[in-house]
Amino acid sequence: MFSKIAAMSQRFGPYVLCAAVFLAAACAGEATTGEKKEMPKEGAATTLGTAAQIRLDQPRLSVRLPVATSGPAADRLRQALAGPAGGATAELVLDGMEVSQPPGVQYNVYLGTAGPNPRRQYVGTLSFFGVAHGSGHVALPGRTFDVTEQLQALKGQGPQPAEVQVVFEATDGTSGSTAEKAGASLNRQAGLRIGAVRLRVQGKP
Amino acid sequence: MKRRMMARRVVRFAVPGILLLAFVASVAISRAQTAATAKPHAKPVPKVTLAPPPVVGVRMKFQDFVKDPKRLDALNKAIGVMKARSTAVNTSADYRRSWEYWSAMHGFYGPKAKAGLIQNAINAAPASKKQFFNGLHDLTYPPTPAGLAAQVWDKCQHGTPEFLTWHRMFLFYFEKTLQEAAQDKTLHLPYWDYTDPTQVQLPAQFAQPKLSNGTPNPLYDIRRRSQTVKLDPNATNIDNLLKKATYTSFRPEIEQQPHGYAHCTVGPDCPYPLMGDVPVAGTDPIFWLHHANIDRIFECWLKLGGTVPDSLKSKSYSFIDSAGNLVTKKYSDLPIDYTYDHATNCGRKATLKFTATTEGVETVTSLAQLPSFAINGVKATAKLPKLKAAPATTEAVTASGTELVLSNITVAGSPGVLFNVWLSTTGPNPRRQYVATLSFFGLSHHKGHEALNRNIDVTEALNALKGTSAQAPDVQVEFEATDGLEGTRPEAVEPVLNKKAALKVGKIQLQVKK
Repeated sequence: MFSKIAAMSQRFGPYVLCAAVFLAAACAGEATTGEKKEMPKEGAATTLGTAAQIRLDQPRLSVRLPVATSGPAADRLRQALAGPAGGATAELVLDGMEVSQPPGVQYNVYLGTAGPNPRRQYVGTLSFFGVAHGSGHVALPGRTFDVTEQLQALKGQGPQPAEVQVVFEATDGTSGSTAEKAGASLNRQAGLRIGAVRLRVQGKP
Repeated sequence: MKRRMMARRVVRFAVPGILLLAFVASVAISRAQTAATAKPHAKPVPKVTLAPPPVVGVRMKFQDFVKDPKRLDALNKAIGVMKARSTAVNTSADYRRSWEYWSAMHGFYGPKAKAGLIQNAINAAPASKKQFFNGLHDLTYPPTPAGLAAQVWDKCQHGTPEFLTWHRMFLFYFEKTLQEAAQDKTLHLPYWDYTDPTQVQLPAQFAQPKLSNGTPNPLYDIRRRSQTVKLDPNATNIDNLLKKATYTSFRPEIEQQPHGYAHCTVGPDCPYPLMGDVPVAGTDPIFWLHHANIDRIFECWLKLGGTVPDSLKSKSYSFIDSAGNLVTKKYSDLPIDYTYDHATNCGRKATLKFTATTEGVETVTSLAQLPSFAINGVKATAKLPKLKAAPATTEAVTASGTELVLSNITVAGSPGVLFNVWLSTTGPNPRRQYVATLSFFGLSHHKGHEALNRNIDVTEALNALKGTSAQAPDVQVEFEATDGLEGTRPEAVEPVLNKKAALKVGKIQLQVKK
């Protein structure tokens, strides 16, 4: 009986994971979602939320990041969101990025609110200049974005958002691009992965 | 009318006359003062001939540059002449001052090229992108001067700390060649300032196949996404980039965005010609205005207090001078003779100056290391030696660049699984933190594939493991096989583990970067 449950959980784990980290297409049934998982929640002093093992093989991917609402990191986040005098900044960090073939697209990164009527703010663009078909497996440099202003815009009247989502959308780089349009050029076998997505606060404790 | 003419004459003759009188008077006064203060028996001071100050030219925003048609004519002439020289005998000085040669200095396709043969790139490209290779071909080193091309071709720096310094020197000598080709020393590279939301579209002067006189437009090239390609103003906002206070944080970010972003968007995409493909990107005239803008943003950052590490300043690079000869120069010795018209207040919002930091490219302190660790089963634990004593262990949890470095990861065959990497405390009741997953796509013993290296930022993992201590604890590195899915136990993937994969990590090192 227990072995059956274990086998079931193994088999359906990826779908359960959709509750925390979801990819629209994958949640409809593709097992690729299973590549993404939440990180252990042993809280580092400055980390507010983390997601790991993001595989970008779809034109649009949303990763939910629960944000710590209490403790030193949350205090510092509220300090950062209170205004520039606080001396702290909120950062979105993408680490451990790797790719095996040219993805054929770039990805816009947005920070958005979770739940109904989501709002979002542009954060940056992931581009892959220099990744050629013959490059083989390439470790890409990480990206660190200052997202203080984006979080200030997203928090509304509250002291801080309790949860945010990081949205990756394929783009051809032009202002009129959409994920659907750019998706036609997406190389789904590119093996584009992000080891970890972290929201953290930098600055004086 | 007559009055206006008179006024003009007064300005034309009287003003210089007054200035001349003032100059003569000031010299006379100065000499009189010198004579008055000189000691009666002092030896005469030897005459010192000062070198004339370098003529400082201005690199301008393209939209201002074109306001004087003569400047645009000079740029068109220079690029036209350089393009015409591409068919010169490849051993000639003219060929070394040609468009093809200068593009090859950035990168090229050919038997000796890092990128390999162009046919391989064409074969790998999707059908919709093959047309962008039209007109491009493999290049070979000119036989004479022997060894010269090998010294200067294919030298672009990407993904390295030298990205900004090498490209600055590359542009400097390119500009000299432009001036020579135009026979106009006042010609300086303009820049495409797409950080301005009103200037995100490819400048119209690059989009017309012909000039107004019916001749081919040297600035035009058909191999772009479109001739009206418009960058996204969100993606060209450099406000946050300019806040990066250290070279090691600024350089990778500017290289990715806006640099890489603009390459891929003008593209037509990455890695397709021209702009999207490193080996031929320099063939598109807009490449040079794009890089002039990157260099300007670099200058903006320097003016905010950014500094280039000394180890980069002392590096030498080789280029071709305006006579077609080899020139080798240190970055710190580059005789910069230009300024930018806008190198302050470069962001859309005001950016505060930051304190200058004297920063090495990588000052690394090793905390512990372990040579050659083999991963034979689904679980393996690498016990690191005791960590180096404080202050390094304190820095490890206070600095922002503490890394677990897995160097020279090699396999003899595909392992069939991925490996999660955890950092864990030693001793009773160990706690652990996930830090990375190793995957092995493209990694094999076949020729052409390099060993994998991973630099994993573990600052926060160490912070979590240290508990209330002020110092990093002794740690070990755990490797656990996984299929990449959430919750997979290592034992579950044992059947698919290739035990003959001979997975080996050449060196494991925990280090603090400053």
